[in-house]
Amino acid sequence: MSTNHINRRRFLGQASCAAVGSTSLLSTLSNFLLTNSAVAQNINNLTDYRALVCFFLPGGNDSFNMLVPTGSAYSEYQKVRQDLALNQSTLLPISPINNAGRPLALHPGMAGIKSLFDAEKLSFIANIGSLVRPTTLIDYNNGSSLPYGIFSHSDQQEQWQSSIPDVRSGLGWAGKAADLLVNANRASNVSMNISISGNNLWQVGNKVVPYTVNANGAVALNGYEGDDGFNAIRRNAIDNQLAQEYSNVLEKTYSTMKRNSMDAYQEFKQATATTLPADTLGTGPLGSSLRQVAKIIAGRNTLGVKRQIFYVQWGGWDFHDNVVNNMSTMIPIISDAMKSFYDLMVAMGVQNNVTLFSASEFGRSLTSNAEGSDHAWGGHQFVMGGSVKGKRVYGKYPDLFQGNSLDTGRGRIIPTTSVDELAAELALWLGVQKRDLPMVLPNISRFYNLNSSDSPLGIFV
Amino acid sequence: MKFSLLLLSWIFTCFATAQSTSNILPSQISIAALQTSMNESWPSPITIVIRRSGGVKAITVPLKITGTATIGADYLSAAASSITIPMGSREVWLQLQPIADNLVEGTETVAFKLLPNPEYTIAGVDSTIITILDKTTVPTDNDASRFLIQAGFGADPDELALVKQLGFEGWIDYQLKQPKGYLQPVIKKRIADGKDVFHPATKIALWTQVMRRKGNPDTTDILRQRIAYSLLQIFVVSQNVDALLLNSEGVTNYYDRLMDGAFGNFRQLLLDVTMHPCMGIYLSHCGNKKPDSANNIFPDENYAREIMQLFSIGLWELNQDGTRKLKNGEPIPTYTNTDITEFARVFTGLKWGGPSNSNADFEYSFEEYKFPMKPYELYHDTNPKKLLNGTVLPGGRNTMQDINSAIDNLFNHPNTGPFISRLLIQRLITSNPTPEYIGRIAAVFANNGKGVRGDMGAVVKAILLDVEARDIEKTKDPSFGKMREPYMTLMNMGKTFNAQPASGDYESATYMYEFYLQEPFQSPSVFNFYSPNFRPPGELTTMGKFAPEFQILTAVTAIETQNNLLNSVENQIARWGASSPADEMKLNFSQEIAIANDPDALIRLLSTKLTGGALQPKGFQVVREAVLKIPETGNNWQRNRVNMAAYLIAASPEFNIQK
Repeated sequence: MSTNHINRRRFLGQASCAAVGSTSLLSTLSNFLLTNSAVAQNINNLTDYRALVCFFLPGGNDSFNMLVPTGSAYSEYQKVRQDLALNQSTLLPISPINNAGRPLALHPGMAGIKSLFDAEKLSFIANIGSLVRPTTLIDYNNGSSLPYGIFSHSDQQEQWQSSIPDVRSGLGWAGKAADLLVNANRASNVSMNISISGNNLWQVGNKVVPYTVNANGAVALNGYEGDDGFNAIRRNAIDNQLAQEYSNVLEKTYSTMKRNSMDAYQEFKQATATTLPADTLGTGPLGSSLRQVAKIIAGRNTLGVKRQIFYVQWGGWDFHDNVVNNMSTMIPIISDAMKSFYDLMVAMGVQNNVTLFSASEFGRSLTSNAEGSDHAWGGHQFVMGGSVKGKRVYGKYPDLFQGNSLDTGRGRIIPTTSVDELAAELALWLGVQKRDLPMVLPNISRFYNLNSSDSPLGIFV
Repeated sequence: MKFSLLLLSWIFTCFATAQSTSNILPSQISIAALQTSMNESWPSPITIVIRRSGGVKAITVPLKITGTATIGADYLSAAASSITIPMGSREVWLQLQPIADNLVEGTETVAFKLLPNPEYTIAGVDSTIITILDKTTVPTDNDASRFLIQAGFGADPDELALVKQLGFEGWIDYQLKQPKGYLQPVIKKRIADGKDVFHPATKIALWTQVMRRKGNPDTTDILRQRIAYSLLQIFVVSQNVDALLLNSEGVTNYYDRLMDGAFGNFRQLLLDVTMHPCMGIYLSHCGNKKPDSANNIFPDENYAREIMQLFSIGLWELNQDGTRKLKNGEPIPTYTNTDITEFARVFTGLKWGGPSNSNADFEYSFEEYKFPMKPYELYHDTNPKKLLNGTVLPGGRNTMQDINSAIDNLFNHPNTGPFISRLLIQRLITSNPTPEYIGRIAAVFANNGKGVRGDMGAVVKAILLDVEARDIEKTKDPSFGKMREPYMTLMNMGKTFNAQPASGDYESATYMYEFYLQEPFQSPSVFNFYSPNFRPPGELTTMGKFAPEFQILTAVTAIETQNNLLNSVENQIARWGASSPADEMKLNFSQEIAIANDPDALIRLLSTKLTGGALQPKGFQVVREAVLKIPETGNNWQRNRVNMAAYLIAASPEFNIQK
């Protein structure tokens, strides 16, 4: 990559959970129960194993260059995107089973994702984003019912993960779903919710909070194990330090978190000491993180779990400059990783038990700021797995021309599918009962009739 | 002597974890002081401990209290003619708190002596003497250490002596005048020496300046270093982008502007940050152009957004005490997206500056990271612009006129004082300053007493000398303090124990991000390593308290940081080991090794250096019992004891939460 061209904030993501309230390792602390926690549902009906993986692209992925209109609509795309428009001849055309409203093609770096799409193992959701309620341009111009801090990283990340764009709740929808499903798993120091990528709001519930590992797994405390004389002395002393009562709440919280991470390590290590089938994930950070997810899935019986929720984050996508070149480097990495991960799930025989979905806080402005794009709203995401009705584009692909009925200015497009709808679809697949959806997604009835016999998007087989 | 209220307490909370003691063993008891001296100016209590080995029954120990000091007049204590060691306990503690009078009494004493009783035998030390010093401006070692943990990088002995010599205010005034220890010259020297300037070089430069000690040369500017280090977490620039990865000289030049701003004026600081090419690259306003409507191209909004959200006014309108203003019960946004597009047009026309670009074209000017960006008027949007609070910029003005007006608009915004004050207090003192504390600092920001707004030296001084920062009583508030920044725990160990490499090259102290999820110049985004509004789930959240640094305490870092601590103590500060013996960063424990035969003295010294004496009696007992398990035999027993004590204290919650 040329050093003249600058990958601005490529890594924005890795901790741009800025205002995202979360933590990682208070796995099972009954003393941290909040008063309004939902009652865990009866889980006798949950007999199979299911895992949900959130693949988060922090910084705001310019997904209008991942899923691109072709044919007669290409000129509309080219006109609005100008120097950001991809050359039509390089795009990979797709043929969705359902009517996507217009012919579509994929970014040239998405061969792996295209093969999954064609094999009906992956589908897209078009123009999805955080909505308080179904929103029109008139609503936008009146400033009514808009997500707070609209177009800002920290707020929109939080809103994708909480699915409550009008309240700062401090809880994520995967955390609250896990609160309901928690009885599906044996009581354990290792939470139902596991993050490979550090703290995030999405996995924080009232009871369930994420356990964090890195791409290499969990980490042991040195100088603590075994009977070496000094280690035995240290172990006794550290155990005593952490057993003390601290009146300062910061000290108490620190002590609890350290104790929990030491305890969870022991259990985690035993459960994940497995050999996986060969894979093509490579040794990069994304491939390694997804392989770690696979290892934990392989340890599901030792851990005694029926449900698991994973968080993997990669890249920094806030390309205010040089967006086309940066994406040409990074899109193939995610496309190949998705294909490799799916293939590994097949080799492990769990491809129908694992669903992965992509997320990013916002799409980007269709118009350019000269080689870059700015923060916007709706964007496109994908869902992958053997249980997904693939080769489809859910939702509605929007018009792109400037001044269309969804354009809030500069080609910042109002989403037509809400995060609530996707979250509800995924929560139902995990086993949350329909009547309990409002506990996970308080705004869901603004987008979906809970008495309907269909699911919100109809993604799953 | 003045009469004062008598209260206080035997401490019955005793640490009674099981140890293999038999009922039939007779108890042997001894006495010690966890701190040996107290000072009327610094009313932190000190602790006497009566210990027993053998036996688990409750026993009563008669005490004889003598000395020149009078209980109730010179100190408060529940000390009485006897004390009971409860069943199963191995230690019982007695607190003494000095009473501040304004009398010149000289040094007074309190002496405790254990008296015999058939229930036990007295073994070892049977008496201890505490001294009470008159009220003075000289801080105690513990208070000076606590101050340096807040204001510097930890209690190195030379700096600690200076704090005691000058007092807090005197030390700050001295520090405000010290020559600046810039980082860029360290990089220049590396270049001259033929060394690389890859991103670890900036960490090497920072360590080089932080580790300077009084006497070599005879100045330090450790306060400025700490403030600049903290400002980098507000005005974030990171080498985590390709363009800055190799640009350590430019990045240190940026950091040196933060150093100028540490005690300079906030307006100049905000302007320097705005004009710096490293920021221009990081937030993409370097090369930002006026709109090109024919081609549907608009100004980049990145810097316009972040200068407001993160560098000056924040998202919500604030009262002067930092609380949010409300309208119909709702907080009021400080700006709209339209405001961002207006400010985006202000920040157009800047590109590479420096002498070599005197006539260069905007599009083809040379990359220059060591000089401020400069305006290229052809690319500046000269249409009128609406700023905040009704300010309108007329059309036809040049780039710097517009930028200066925008900086003035933000600098004079009522939010800026409380917003920046809170962020700095959180970096130095406590995660949850009271509104009163923020209000006092915001008032200094608004007016330094001489009619000047934005005097950062005055702001820093006010933060450190505020009663909320200095009053030991405040530390009893259950949410006072902050998690010590993970990376700061490493710097504190290096600074306190003078881990200078013989070569002067701090390359061992690099590549630490993975352990700590924190390292200077390596923030993952402009949002810093953690959010000022982060709340860990649980009790802190239910209390409505913030704890930013907890955002990077994960099940991984909670362990990795401790593993690196163990390596630092037992071997050296290093990610992988030093490339040559001259580069080794070994902690110097010579003072500690000399007293390893006296665990009380050893732990007392380490507790002072590392925690400002915050190690609680129970924590003290844990460390002492561990140290005593290492017998005074064989090779290296002294060092082994020091390693055990230093590691355990730095692993303790009392260390990791700075109060």
